[in-house]
Amino acid sequence: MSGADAPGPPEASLRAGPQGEHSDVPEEADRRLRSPAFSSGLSVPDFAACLHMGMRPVGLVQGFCVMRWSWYASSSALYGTSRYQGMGNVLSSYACPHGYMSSDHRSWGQNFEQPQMTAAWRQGYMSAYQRMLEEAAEVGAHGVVGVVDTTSQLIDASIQEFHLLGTAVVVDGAPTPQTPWTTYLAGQRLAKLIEAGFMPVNVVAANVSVRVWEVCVTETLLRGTTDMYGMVRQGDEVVQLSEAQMQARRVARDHIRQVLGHDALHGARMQVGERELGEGDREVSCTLRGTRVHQFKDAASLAAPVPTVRLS
Amino acid sequence: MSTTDPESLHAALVEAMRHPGATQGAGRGSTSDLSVDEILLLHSVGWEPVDLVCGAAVRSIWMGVWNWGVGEIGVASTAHALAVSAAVQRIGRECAGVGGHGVVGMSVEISVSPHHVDAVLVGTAVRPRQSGPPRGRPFVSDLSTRDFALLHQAGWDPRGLAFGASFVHAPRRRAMTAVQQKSQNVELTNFTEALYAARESAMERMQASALEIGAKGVVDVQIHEGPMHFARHAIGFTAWGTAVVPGPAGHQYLRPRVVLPLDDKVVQFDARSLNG
Repeated sequence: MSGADAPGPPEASLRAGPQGEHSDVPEEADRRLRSPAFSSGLSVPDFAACLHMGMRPVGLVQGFCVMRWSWYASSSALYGTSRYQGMGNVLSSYACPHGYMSSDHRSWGQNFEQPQMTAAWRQGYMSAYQRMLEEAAEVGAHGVVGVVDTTSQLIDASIQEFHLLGTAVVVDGAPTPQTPWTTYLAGQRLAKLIEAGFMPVNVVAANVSVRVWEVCVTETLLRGTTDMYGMVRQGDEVVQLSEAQMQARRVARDHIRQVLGHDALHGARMQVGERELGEGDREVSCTLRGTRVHQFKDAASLAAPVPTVRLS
Repeated sequence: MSTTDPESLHAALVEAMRHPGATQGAGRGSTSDLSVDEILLLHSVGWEPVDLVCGAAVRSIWMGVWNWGVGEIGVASTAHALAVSAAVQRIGRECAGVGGHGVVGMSVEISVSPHHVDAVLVGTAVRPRQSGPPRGRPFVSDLSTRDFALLHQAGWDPRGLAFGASFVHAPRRRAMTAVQQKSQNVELTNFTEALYAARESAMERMQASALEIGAKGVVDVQIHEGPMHFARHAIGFTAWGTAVVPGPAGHQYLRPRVVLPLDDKVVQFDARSLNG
């Protein structure tokens, strides 16, 4: 194996990129990636562990995408009198126990998924991801390790920047895959994963936005007040909000599971946010990300760990 | 560093890349928030992750209960207990639904605001590798996988989440007393007493909840105490931990091996710093 012995610049043939294929990689980036010196985002221990596996870094690859979308497309002004036509999958509905209709009374409530938000987030993430992969393909990479993805506000809340970066690697002696595999892991964590019989497929992420249009009971409970009929008892559970918190997490997990097939998601990270968009109108969003892995061999049973006491 | 020699690790990697879908279908789709180390640790004690599960509950609190009064704020303490209890039940149900025997590495997020208590629990459902469907109620635990494996080796089993909370008014001092004490170094006995009262109630409730699920004790107790950020004269004390019982073989002595590491500390580099 030459990886550990030859950690220097990769061979020219591995830098050639896809022959004759059109690439969207900017010319300057292409020139940089073809330079004889490689770049990497790996720490020294991670770099050493990659070489140990016969993996050689060939370049720090990145993808960006800036998206603008309207968070307030579905106005709550229509609430109470009619249903917003663009709403997505209704997750649960709530009826007012008071039994009367009025424009100033929230006689029904709903938790619904906002697919337009999910799709916009996915478009931003996937565009940045594809651009990172294009750069990886440009340097003939087999995989991208140590992926870091960030989503941040740019200028204002309606403009989001998606940024993915990772280190493109080449595995000596391995065939070039059609699409480079990607993982959030690097170094010894990746070595341990492969040793355990799991191979990374790609990084996966899903964002789910659950809109909560509050029914009168929810609104009353969250205000800490009660109604004049004594039908809303303080101290009760705010069922609609409890369910929204569960739904956001479950739907994100289910979206990920849909793409997993028989594979597994390792190292999942879940980020959940809740915000009030207006009176009686809030949003619970959940982002779930991790590395999709498939088992390529049965891991030998590991010995039970030996407890140690450290003298230092 | 990995324990395998470089050649066999490299050969495994090349083999996996030559046949990317070779054993697809043999595995079972699963999700987990555990790290590679944690999964390997679970495997080493004969367990495996099943799925990511969650439980959440939001309970309302009367307006105005935080401002004036004496003694315990019973409404808030009850709301807290009911919210956590409902969240525990829901994550337990999800765990049972996916065939898990229990939940480990659970994150416990409890926030108290003037009008509601939010309890959110997220963790990974796990099960023994060679086992049938779960018998009885799954355990819910905030122990890390490392602690779970160690507990398992020591012959103890997690039973569930034990928790207790109490919110107590710290009575305001009389105006004259406040003026007199302004230039003195004195103990504020109203706050000290409120802290003691809240602590006793919360700890007692946590232990009672452990006994209720048949546990012998509680490990890794987490304590949070202090004034509420929205009501400075209300003291909150919350405590939770994992209730445990001895396994069928009773306590096992671990007899740890003493080691003297010879390696230097390595300064870790965080790739996120590249983002500026």
